[in-house]
Amino acid sequence: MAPFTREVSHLSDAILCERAATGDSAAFQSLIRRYAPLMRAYAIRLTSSASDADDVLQETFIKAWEKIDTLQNPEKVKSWLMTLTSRKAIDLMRTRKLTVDLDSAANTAHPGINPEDNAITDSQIVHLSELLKTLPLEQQQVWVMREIGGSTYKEISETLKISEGTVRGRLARARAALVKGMEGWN
Amino acid sequence: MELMNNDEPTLDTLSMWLQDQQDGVQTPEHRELTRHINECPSCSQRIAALKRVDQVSADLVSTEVAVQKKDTTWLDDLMANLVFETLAGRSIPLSAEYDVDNFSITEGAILAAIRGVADSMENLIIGRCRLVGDVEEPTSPIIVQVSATVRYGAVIAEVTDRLRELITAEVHRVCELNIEAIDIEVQDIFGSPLEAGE
Repeated sequence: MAPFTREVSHLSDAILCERAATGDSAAFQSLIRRYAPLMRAYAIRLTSSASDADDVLQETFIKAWEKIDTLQNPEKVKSWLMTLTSRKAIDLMRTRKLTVDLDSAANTAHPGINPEDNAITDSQIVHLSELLKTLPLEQQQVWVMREIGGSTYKEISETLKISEGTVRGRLARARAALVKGMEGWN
Repeated sequence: MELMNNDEPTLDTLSMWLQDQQDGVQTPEHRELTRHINECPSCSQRIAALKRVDQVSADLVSTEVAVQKKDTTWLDDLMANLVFETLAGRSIPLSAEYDVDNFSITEGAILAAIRGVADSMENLIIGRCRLVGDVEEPTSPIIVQVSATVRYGAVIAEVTDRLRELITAEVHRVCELNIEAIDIEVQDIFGSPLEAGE
């Protein structure tokens, strides 16, 4: 077995990215497998749906493969993938917005964390997960892009087409609302 | 409910202050609020509550990612439906016995061949691999640019010399490019001292 295949899980993002950028699809798939769980958790939070999240991921993977040779700094491939994911998710949500607005009462399904899941035993985490769903969508988006996506205010403002000041304000309000909702839980 | 006089910062303001604090903001307003918070038990308490929620938030994110890692059938399904086609790149002419014949090989195929021989080496893994120069012009001088990571303990000069030999032989096998130089940039090492037997 080639050292590349044997060592692939230990190789740096940069080397995988450089191989992928010059046409190595095996390196690209290793990179995708490394970050796909994070990307899916992110997309599920942004779209409120596992099947929408999978559509987002599929499009993100294709776009990433097409564009990886344009990435200036291979060390930043993780944040680049997360930004691509959020853009695809927000695009999808924009196209869905009309239907959601008409049917907002029915829009309660949210598969972020299932309280019945055996893996989740911490009641604080479950409570926070539920609380997030009660925030206004605009605050949820900003919170998720910051906390899961690790995006800067500037990146969030560009993706959502709002000012950086608005991003800061929404994030601060989201956190404040979560603190109020968590009273008695910590 | 918050029952405070008008001079007390709201929870939104404190939340904004904490963000600024984490972002290293140093405005006079921020410093003034910092002084107030340090002296105000109620504000300190609310900042502590904000920090606790930040911690639970981080735990929530790790938990959600762990859920996705636990069962990755969704990922296998997604990957099975995708075909990552290798970009062909430029077209590199090959000479023919008769003028009417017009043979060529794609740049992508040459790069894949170079990766193939490089991957046969035990002490080196290549990263970037590029052909620099006018590859579409048969006699034009070409530089092969390669980045690599070398196994811990291996002699870099020996490993890179061997890689040059392999690349030269492989390029000559698959096409007629006029290779002027092979630039190898060693960026990193892999493996551990333990594996190197030290």
